[in-house]
Amino acid sequence: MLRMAEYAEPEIQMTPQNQVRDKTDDELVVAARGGDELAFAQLFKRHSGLVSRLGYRFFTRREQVEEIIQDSFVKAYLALNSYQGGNEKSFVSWLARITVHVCYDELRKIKKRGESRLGDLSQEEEEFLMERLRDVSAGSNVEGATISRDLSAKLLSRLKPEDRVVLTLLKQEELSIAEIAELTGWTSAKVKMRSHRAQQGLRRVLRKFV
Amino acid sequence: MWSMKNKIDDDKLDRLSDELFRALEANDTEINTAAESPFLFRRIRARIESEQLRLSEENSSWFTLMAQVRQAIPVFALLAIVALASSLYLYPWGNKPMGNAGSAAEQQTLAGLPMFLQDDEEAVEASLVGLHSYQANQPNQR
Repeated sequence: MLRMAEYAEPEIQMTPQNQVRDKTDDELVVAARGGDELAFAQLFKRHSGLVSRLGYRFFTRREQVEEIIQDSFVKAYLALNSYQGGNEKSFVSWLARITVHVCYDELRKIKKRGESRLGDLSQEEEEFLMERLRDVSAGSNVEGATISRDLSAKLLSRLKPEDRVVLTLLKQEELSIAEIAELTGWTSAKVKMRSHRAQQGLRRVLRKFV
Repeated sequence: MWSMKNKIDDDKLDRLSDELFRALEANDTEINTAAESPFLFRRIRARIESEQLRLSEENSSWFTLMAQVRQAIPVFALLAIVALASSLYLYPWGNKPMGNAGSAAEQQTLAGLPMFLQDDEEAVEASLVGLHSYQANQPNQR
């Protein structure tokens, strides 16, 4: 599994006349602050993959992920003056922080709009899930009986947005409590408590099918 | 026994929840397709421009308001000076104001009142003296 630190890809496919081949993220940020559109385009090209990957952690549809990419880069551009920089991975962590917040906001909006109705499972899906639970308890691993992404998204949409963020970062990104705290801006104690509650919440959701 | 069963259940549910998260993972092709979507950067540029326009309009509306307030300050100051000058002209320092009759009537009314209602301290003193003298006179009257 790719970790966030591995998202930053140094190779840049640019023509020599662009003269940004060897520029670091911090240098590009300084140029973008000065109104250099090419520098910002370069930052986008370098890191849109990271934002896309993070977006797909929370959303399944391509349009949603594109929306997340847009929002994240717009927010990043408007907040360029607040970027401190300093080391090689500063921009990546800074952008990841913005992206996680954009995803969190979007999850909250979805919850507020009441789109949790989409989380209702069909009879077929419920049967499949019960079957899957029996397989898991039996310890067997039936080939091809993988959980569909839709079903997974439906089940996870029943969690609170905070729980979803913490569990995703914990289970999919495999981040530590301290890393999640840094990424979300929450305290370590809050992340720890939230992860515990999120785990219990997910068990509660799944227990309905046992 | 119950806790053991519950523990097994929890383990089972945790394994399933891990499966749920694994199922959500997108492959590299999907990730790159979204990231390299055509016109995505152009849309971002358009959004940035509209956001900047909105922010500058918000700021400019504040600046317009402040500028109007700044322009209004000398006008209000001039009005205040005119009002002061006219009141000084109409009521110079030496003259009594037009409401003399009213105050004379007030003075008359005050003169008609007993002393203890005109001056609080004296009134209290007088009433105390009166009380003492009244108390001293009480046995004599009997």
